[in-house]
Amino acid sequence: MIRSIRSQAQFYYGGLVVALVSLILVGFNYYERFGRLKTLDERLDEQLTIARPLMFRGPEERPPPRREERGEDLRRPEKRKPPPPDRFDPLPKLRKEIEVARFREGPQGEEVLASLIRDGFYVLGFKPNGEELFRSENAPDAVVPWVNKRDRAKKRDRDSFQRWSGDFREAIQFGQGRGYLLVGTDASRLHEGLNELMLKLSLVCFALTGVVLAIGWILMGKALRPIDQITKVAQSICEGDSNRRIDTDSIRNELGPLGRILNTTFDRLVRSVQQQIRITADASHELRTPVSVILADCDLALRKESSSERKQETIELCRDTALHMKSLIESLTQMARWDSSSDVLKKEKCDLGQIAEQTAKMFTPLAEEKNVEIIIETTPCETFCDPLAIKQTLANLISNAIHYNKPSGKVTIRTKRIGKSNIIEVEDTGFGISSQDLPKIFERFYRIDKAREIEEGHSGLGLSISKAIVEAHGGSIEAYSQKGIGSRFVIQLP
Amino acid sequence: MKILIVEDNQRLRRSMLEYARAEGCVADAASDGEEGLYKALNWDYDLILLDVMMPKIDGWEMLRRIRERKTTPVIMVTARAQIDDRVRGLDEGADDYLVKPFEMRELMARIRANTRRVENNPQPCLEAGDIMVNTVKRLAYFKDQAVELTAREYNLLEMFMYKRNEVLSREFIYDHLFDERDETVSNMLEVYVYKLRSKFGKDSIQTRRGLGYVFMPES
Repeated sequence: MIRSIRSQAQFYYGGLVVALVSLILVGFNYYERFGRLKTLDERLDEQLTIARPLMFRGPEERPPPRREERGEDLRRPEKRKPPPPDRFDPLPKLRKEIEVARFREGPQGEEVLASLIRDGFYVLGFKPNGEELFRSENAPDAVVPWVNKRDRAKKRDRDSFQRWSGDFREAIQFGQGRGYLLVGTDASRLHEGLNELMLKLSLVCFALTGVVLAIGWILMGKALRPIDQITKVAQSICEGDSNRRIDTDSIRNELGPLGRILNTTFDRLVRSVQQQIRITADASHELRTPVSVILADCDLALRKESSSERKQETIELCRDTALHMKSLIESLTQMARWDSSSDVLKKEKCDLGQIAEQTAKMFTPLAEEKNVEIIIETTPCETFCDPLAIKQTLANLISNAIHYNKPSGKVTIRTKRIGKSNIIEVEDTGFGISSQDLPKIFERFYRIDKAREIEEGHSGLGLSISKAIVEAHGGSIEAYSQKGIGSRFVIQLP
Repeated sequence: MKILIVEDNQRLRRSMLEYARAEGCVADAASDGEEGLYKALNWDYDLILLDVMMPKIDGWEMLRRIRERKTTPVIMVTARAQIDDRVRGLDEGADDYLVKPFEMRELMARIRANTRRVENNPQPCLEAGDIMVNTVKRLAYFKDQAVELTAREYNLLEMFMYKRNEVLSREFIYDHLFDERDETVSNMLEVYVYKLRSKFGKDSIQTRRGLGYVFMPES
């Protein structure tokens, strides 16, 4: 079974057209044949009338009218009155016969015969018993005189009928007990003309159908070509060339939107694959150092001369490092989550001022420990956001502010509304960030003071995650800082 | 075997240092590029282990500046594992490249291999006269009999074996035998020389007045 859209459409549609055309041609054939036959039969009837005198006496000699014509009621079975008995007069009948024979053999009769023959008709006369009375020269040899059962069935109430006799069409006239008159003609020429016509017609029709189907084929091909293009592009992307896209400008029909959607999907897929690769690479890279630390110290502790105190140290070191790796893994998972899409946000109506206050309060114990003061200057800011995500962002900023602060320093948290945006600020009096480092702090894994940060379990992803969260909300985050004086982080949310 | 470990991760640095010393190496450490460069240029190390990602001066820069002035063998020990980084390291003058995480055994083996190459003595076993030293196992034999040596004694013997028939100044020997933690106690060196002479023959180590010592095992 052919599988392409084009072939199938062509097959069914084309089949339908061919069937219809054939139907019309056949219909036309029958109609024409029927018409021609009718015409022929009418001519035969004409000829019968012309040939009548050859067999039956005079035109006034007419068979008795049928029952309907007599005006009788057909429903009531009435006994037919027998015809008045002929006077027993053998002479009149014979006289009639001789008269007819004389006519037939006379010049008038000859003329009638000749005329018939000229027109292509033959004529025969039969006695009531079936004996051939006369025949024209052109009559075919085998003419069945007898009226057979089928003919009799046709006869019924009629006085004449037509029949086929091989290739000849014949009309037979009954005389009441006086025999039959038969006029016939070769009907094959009827077929001929018609057959030729049908052949020509069929050829033209099917030729036209062929042309139409061919055009249809080409047009369908054009319309469906974009599918080829789409298939090729998809295949090359599958094979690794991730930059190919479908050229949707060249597609005008419904396949255009399909192409555009596929392009968007490809973009998404490629991007997500790249993100996967990046996350994996980041993870593998970042984990190298903690693993080396563990490995090196374990190698050391496993030496036979190492003391049990040393071994204890190693175990503690391994534990610390494992915790560091754990926080790293968690950070990476977070990062992966925010990387993938912004649909992960569970937005609801919240008050940023309240969220900021709650988050800040969480850090009170740590702030006390580090001898840092937390100042809260918040105003209510209603907005639509994911409260947990915002809390996380703020926690990150506040934690940094406390950790990088000077003793007796301050951390100020502000929320306010300016125009259509909500602003959150976290300001500290800490060591500040150098102008070299400032543009890079939101980069993944960027650390200013590596050794110290790794000790305290910072992964370097905190600010990257914060930025991702803020941007997923459609907002922005900026950092301002002066080395030695302090830093200020400003989040803007719609 | 005096090596310098330049590594910014404090814990890792400490472990590497301890392990190297436990293996008998004389080892110093630096926690950033600046300190590392200072030490590398001012003292003679037999080998430098260099991390790439460091604050102040990064490993690439350090390598470049060391190579300007010294031919000390350098093994890069780093978390940068990509092929581009590895090729770059080796092309810019490092003698070897080891990717973290690594096992200490491998690090030690590479150190030994580099030392052999530098001293032009590719065989792991050094032989001279009746003395045989297995540098991998850190064992010494005299006339096919195993000789017991402390770590320092072994280090001195190994140094002599590598640099036989060369006059080595006291400063040189001292620098390569002791690390930065040791106080300058000059007669420590005499003690070790005495010990070796007693184990391998008085004439094996000869004193050159004012110049130093020379190891001549054949005589």
